[in-house]
Amino acid sequence: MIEGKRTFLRALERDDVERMQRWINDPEVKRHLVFTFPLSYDQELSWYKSKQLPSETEVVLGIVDRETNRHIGNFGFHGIDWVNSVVEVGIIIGEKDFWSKGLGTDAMRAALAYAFNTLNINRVFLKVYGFNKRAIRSYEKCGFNREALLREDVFKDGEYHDTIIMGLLRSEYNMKGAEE
Amino acid sequence: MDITGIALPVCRSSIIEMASCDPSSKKAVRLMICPKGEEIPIGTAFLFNIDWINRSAEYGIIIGSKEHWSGGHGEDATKAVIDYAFLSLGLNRLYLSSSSINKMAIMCYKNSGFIEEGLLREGRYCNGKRRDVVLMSILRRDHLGKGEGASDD
Repeated sequence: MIEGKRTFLRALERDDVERMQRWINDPEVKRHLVFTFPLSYDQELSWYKSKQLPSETEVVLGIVDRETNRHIGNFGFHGIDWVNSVVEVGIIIGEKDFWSKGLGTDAMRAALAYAFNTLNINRVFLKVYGFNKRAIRSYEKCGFNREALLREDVFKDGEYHDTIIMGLLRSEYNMKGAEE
Repeated sequence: MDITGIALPVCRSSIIEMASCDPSSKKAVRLMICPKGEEIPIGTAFLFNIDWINRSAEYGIIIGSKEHWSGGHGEDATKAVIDYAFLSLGLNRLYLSSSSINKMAIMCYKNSGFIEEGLLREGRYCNGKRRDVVLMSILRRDHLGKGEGASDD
């Protein structure tokens, strides 16, 4: 368990699969994700099963809201690169009623502490579509800096959109901790 | 090894696997680079992670024969692959990443039309130091200009 203040991150369970399938098929949620095609229950189940094999490089966890004890989203550490000490992170709040409450920011802060203090990682980065202003603001609050603008990286809703890469280094994270 | 960002030794079978891309998958194009009139390749250029919905692909090139470094072959090959990607495959965006210390490669990409998009700070660890990674891209409109389609020359 990774403990945040208002959320915690736990391992995914088979009972979560149907809920996650619902999130990913929701156009408002999907707009911010890489997915394109409608996703079947079995496809989501296969994905879930693939994540159950022990992995040193891929970990996806469920985000639970402490107040309601509901599984509201997922957090992923993707392609952990142990040589370069780099990890890509991804976050989704699938339950729309829980958007704009700072819960994603809370989960991200907990995951960053875990990445730097437990996994001993030097650099955490993420990709976010340029139109996802709410997410960008949340990442900025967590200390991420903009590093790159990938022009016309993704095609959605009839046009190309930019992708932003944001990164946070251990040195910056530690400095920020000292200030607080 | 220092400039490719591949830290672990590569075995023969993984190279064979990498080189033998299945054309039916339409995910990658791997090409050998030969100087005009010569048969022995000096390097390889490739498009991979081809994404047909977003019309993008990642570009990579290695001039493995060190005596051919600085001979302009990399730039020549890069320009040929860019033309191929936009005019034959109909892609919209090519992108690449390069260690910031690989000045020769970055110059080659710039001369071929790639533009810097950002810097992944401390993205790579090599020879005891953390290095930045430069991201570059070229868009269809950068390459072909405002009027679609190529000039006739």
